[in-house]
Amino acid sequence: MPQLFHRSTNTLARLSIVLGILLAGGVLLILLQANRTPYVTQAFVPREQPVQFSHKHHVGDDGIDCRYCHTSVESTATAGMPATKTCMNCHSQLFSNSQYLEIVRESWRSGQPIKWTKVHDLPDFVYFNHSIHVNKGVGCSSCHGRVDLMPLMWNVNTLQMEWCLECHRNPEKFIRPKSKITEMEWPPSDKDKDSKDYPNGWNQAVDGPRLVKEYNVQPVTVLTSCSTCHR
Amino acid sequence: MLRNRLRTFGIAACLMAIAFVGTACRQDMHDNPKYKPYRDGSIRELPEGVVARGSLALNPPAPFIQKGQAPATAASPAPAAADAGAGATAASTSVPIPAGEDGFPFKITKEIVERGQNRYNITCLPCHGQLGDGNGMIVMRGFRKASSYHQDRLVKAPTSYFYDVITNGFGAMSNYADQLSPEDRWKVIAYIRVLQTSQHANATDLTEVDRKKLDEAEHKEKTKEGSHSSGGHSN
Repeated sequence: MPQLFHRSTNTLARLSIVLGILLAGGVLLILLQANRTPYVTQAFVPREQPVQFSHKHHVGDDGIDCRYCHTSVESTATAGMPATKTCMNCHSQLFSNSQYLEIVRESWRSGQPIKWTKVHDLPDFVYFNHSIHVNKGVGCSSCHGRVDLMPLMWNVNTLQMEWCLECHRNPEKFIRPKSKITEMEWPPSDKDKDSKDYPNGWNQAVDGPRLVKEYNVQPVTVLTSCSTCHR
Repeated sequence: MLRNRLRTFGIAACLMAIAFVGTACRQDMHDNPKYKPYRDGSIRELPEGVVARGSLALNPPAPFIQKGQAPATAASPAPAAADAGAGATAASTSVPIPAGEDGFPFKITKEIVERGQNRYNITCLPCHGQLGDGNGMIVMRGFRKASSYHQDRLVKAPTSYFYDVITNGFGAMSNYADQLSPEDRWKVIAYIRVLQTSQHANATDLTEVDRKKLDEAEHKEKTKEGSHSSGGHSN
């Protein structure tokens, strides 16, 4: 075996090889972690919208159910963006002179839909269907967070694959009764009881696996199969 | 010799790293050049003459007409028009409304009422309120007061009248044809009948057990509310 190092190589030089590898590994680690930060995923960054629509007001203050506007969430892949007419159901009378809503009225007059900024934008190579999640007991707030506290919309999750898999590997940790899908505060407080779904109070460790069975949620092998989401 | 090779290797690695970082910024796979719903942040406008798939089902004449029933004579867009005023324009466009069993195109079961309640709470409750008395949150915010289902006119109105109002709107209420499927409209009406019954029921209509509960509740909260008017109505 020929001599690997030059005669002049001292301890420092040898150490620098090890350090170099560590440094490269460190940089890689930082890059991978950086990829998960809000700087990249835009989590918690409120998006500018053409109209300053506040979920906090409509959901939190007014108590309007998610499905009043997102009508197709239970039946199709997309939750459905409300038509301008849905806005006008109320705003034909409420805030009908407000400057904030001029864009809505303009859209109503012209028939041109409002162009909203997408907040939860999955990559196009992912197949995602709202209806199957909602119909199997995955609630709105599980993915979208407390929208009733968001003046402008932001995402609270990375929407990265590891995040999807967190639930696809352990659906029993996140599932909830179908009747509580649009409930914002979940899990409920200890005192909260529901005569039908959880008479003794909600206990995820017990009720989760029960619902997974009851709702016939696919086994984890299917949920984590590549082609379930990449088809 | 070895040094040279190491240097070449180093340069190659650097180039690859740069290429890697460079390509990672491209989002071609994330944003395929294909049509998806709400791609541009809104609904695509339909070209003239195009009917969106499924949209015809929003106001179908067919599925809810009972066999052997002539649609034209079915029940009554007529009283609706008389009642409403707004119904006049509606009658021309509205679909024939069946006078199915008990005024509904299908038999009313517990599941149907529960679905009706579910949809009511989503779509109607903001204005009409939990009890159907027209005091919903949106009304409290200043919207014109919604009709109470418990007024005489609406207690007597046929189910077809409610269907007509949901489908075509009435007064300040815009139509809900887009937000409620025809099937759900009927189910909501079934639940409205439940609400009406609940507000016009006699305590004597209850079973022994329920009456006891009522008495207890009344005991606890010895105040107001004694508006039990005439017993029941045709449902």
